[in-house]
Amino acid sequence: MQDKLKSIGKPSPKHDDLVKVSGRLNYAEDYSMPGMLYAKVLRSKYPAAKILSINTARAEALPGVKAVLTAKDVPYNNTITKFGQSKDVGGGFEALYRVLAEDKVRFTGEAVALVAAETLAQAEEAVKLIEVDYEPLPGVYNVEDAVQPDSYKVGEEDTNIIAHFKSHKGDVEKGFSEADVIVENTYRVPFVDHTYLEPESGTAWIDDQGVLTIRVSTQVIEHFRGVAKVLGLPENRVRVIGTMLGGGFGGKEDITVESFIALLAWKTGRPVKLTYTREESFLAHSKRHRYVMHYKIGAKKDGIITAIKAEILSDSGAYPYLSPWVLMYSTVCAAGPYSIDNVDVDCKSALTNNPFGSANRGFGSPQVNFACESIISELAEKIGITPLEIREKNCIRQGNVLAGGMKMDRYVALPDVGVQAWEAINEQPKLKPADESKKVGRGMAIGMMTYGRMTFLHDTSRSHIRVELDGSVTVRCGVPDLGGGQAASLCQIVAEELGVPLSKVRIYISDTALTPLAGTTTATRQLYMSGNATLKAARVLRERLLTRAAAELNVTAAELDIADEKIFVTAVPDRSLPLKQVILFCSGEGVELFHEAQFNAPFTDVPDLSNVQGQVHPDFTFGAHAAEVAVDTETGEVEVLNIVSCFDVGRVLNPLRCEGQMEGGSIYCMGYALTEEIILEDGITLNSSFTDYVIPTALDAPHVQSITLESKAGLGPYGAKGIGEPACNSIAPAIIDAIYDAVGVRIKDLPATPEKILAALKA
Amino acid sequence: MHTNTRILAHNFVYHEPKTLDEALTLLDKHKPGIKILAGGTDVLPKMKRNHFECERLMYIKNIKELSFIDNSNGLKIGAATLLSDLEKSPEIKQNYHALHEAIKAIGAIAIRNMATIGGNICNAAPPADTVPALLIFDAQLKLVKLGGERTVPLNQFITGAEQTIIEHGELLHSIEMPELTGGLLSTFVKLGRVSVDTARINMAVAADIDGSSNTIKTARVALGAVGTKAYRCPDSEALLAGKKVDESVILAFADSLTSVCDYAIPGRYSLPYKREAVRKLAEDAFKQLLS
Repeated sequence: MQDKLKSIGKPSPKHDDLVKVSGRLNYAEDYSMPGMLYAKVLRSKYPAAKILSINTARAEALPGVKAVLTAKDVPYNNTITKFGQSKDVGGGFEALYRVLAEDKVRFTGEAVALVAAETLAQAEEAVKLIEVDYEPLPGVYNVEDAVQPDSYKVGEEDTNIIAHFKSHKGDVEKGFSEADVIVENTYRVPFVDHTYLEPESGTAWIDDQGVLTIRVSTQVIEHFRGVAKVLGLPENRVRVIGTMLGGGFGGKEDITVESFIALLAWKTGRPVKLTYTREESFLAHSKRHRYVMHYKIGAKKDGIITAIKAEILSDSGAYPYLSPWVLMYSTVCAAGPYSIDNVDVDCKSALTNNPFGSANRGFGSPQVNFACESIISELAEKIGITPLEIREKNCIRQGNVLAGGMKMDRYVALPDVGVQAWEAINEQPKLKPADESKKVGRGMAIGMMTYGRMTFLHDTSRSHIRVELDGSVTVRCGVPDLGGGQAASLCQIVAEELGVPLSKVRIYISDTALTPLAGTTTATRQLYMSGNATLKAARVLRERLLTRAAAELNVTAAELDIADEKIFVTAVPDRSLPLKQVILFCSGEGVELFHEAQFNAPFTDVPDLSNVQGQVHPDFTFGAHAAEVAVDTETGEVEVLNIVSCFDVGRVLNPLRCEGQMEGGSIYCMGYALTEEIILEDGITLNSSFTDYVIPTALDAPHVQSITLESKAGLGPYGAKGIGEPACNSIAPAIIDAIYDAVGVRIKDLPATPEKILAALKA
Repeated sequence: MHTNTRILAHNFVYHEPKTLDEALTLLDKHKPGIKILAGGTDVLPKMKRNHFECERLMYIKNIKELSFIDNSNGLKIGAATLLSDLEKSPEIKQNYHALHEAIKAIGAIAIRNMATIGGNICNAAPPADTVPALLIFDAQLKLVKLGGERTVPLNQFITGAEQTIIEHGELLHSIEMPELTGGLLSTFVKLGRVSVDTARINMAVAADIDGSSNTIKTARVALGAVGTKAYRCPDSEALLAGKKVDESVILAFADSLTSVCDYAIPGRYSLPYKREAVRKLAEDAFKQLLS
């Protein structure tokens, strides 16, 4: 099949590239409506405080103000978080979602009241006139304090711990007693932001049929159900239309502005727009969780690992949101892609009065990957073998069982990805900088990251295809496009299967009323889930067209193929029919020229949380990063000179998009390694702007060499795996390892700022 | 279509004078409630965050008299001259090299196409990159007002973080630097977190080095972002004067800068880092001067 593919595997610009680069694409903020009101949110200035009273009278009296809402105006203010899953999973994973603060505030920036006014200036003014009488409470800001029994309680429960998952195998104490070398360290990673260019934005209105309609930048259009619940409306009376996103990275997986604008539109009967400022975005949306990770690992002199123990504590922040789900990913990935006989993993997540943690590209994997890969590299050095050798000796291979008990039946591209990344970075001799205070070093890390949602969520997706009478094709699929080309990949699949050029496929996405629900654009699941749903629908239509053509050409359908808008006899390509003619035959004879298909992921039960074993995820993507850095021994500054990213992506659908993900993922977590950190002082964010929250710019981005391996062993269309999130997983430990190689300093506390490196060098 | 995600929350009257006379008349008439807008790269973000309020705002980039580079006798620069125009000036690159390098270190191209040198000075941010460079060239500022003018040295003009001695009704007209004598070489070095960033430390150094004996005849040093304003470092300058350029003098120079940090920001969180990192700037500065 491979050689015959026409569209799959070919570099083709996305169908929306031109509208984007020419500035014609409309993002959520670009839409306006006649009679539209502007909304603003009043946010808590305290991380922990009792709300004694709220007086909205002065705000309401301001000219132009049409509505001021507080918790008492929200029909169902306290609901349970859902994330578009097909199945309710209940206790532990689903928790309180509160629209507006009630009784007490739990974090600085928590929404307390909403205003809608004729102009944005009036709305801003009105927010200032709302008088909230707070009684500050002590709060708890350090997750290590929060887990203590006598700590301040963030929520209404008598413990701050919201999730506790364990996974074990063998006997770690026995494993450590057999070890010749033991390494034990504590690793820390900070809260970090998603830093998407487009801040949260949406407009809500009630259409002429009375349907509450929300046009919004979101990764999850299925939040329409949550909004219906908040307002007490039937689900079919709320419609979400998703716009093209200016980045999501997990930060638009949680509900953002939807409930706010829905409430205000419902109250006023007018369209309402709300767009966050950058500073507000920093305060309002989730963060990648801060983790404290205590790791212990032991190995024989020959480098074979005998035991690994990981105690992980995640700072969930003020509300649970996706924290338990994220923690489950960490539990599964904590011991890394290694075959180790004795494993003990213990993961907890606890509430604090910090910003809330939730999804962020990697979903609990980059944190534990940093700790696990760092300690493996340190272990290698203590034993006296190379970072690559220790991974070659211990990594899992096809047929092995992961620490969490999942047997790897499918092809595992380890250690290949590591070998190729390490060889590529070492292809050239190390640069000798002219500046003798600069030292060059190289490092590597490997990783595994899932694609597709956790199997106990019983994930499904749907896609609808219609063949038009002129030979063009229309696809409808409720997939939000984050800019990663989620929609374009589906078009490519349709073009391939129906033998039409990509330019003749048009896709409509992200509308809960008009496109089949495809599930969330999260969890690196869209190519896998919606790709398979689209492939399934396309193959049904293909079969119908071939069957009709077979009658005409006097052969069986199995003898036919489609390409270049022709259906032809595979053995005698000259015997063919124009595709358009076959379509017209079908149309005239009442053969259905449309199909909607559903794809179901593997389904499992919720695992035993006291010992997570067996299948929790559909499959994993295996990858490696290698990095070359120059460290200035006098200033502690790190310059990343080269990055190699090597992944088994199963099958490349479009090399441009695939490399885009691999390059983007590398730079995304290069910031995690070196500069990014939400700086908090007792729950107050001190750096809520791009002046103070520093991310790498184009000038800081080194050359990224992307090496794609195609095992065709993935669960996605044509054997593809997912790459979106895995692409960022292992770059941070690779950079940190390279810093060690350069100057002998192991940073265990991200980010590796010049201050930390210089202090370690001088120590 | 309304596409601005952040509006200026309060009302003000906006003026766009075309001539200096017109501007000074407006400034005098509407003081103290009138403020000045040049490139807007500092003022607008502040306004959007409600950190800057005014009754009236006067835009000065249409005033031709405030935009010039005159190198006929020393160097005179109009306050509203764009950083990108200064960056392109061959005379500045050649003779006032530290200023050229300092300007190149500010923001990205888009910022330098908007921002003015007068704005960088009057905003008086402690890490302002042009200030150390202007300090080593003994810059004087010409301030004008309706019916008067005065000239003050830059080191007296800025008094602290975002603090200057400019009075209501006054406008920065130009920056004047005396003609350089001898073979003064100069350079500018900066430490940031990423490539485009405000300085954590910046420094301008000028030295007149006798080529035959490799001896520093005189030196000028100014340090920024270490304390609430940039300043000259007389001890470091004195230490360099008369010395042969070698490793030991550079080491002594680095020691003196460490002492400057210890004195300027005692107990500050950033001190342990800055007192060490500044040493690299000392080395880099000399490397660049001698290259």
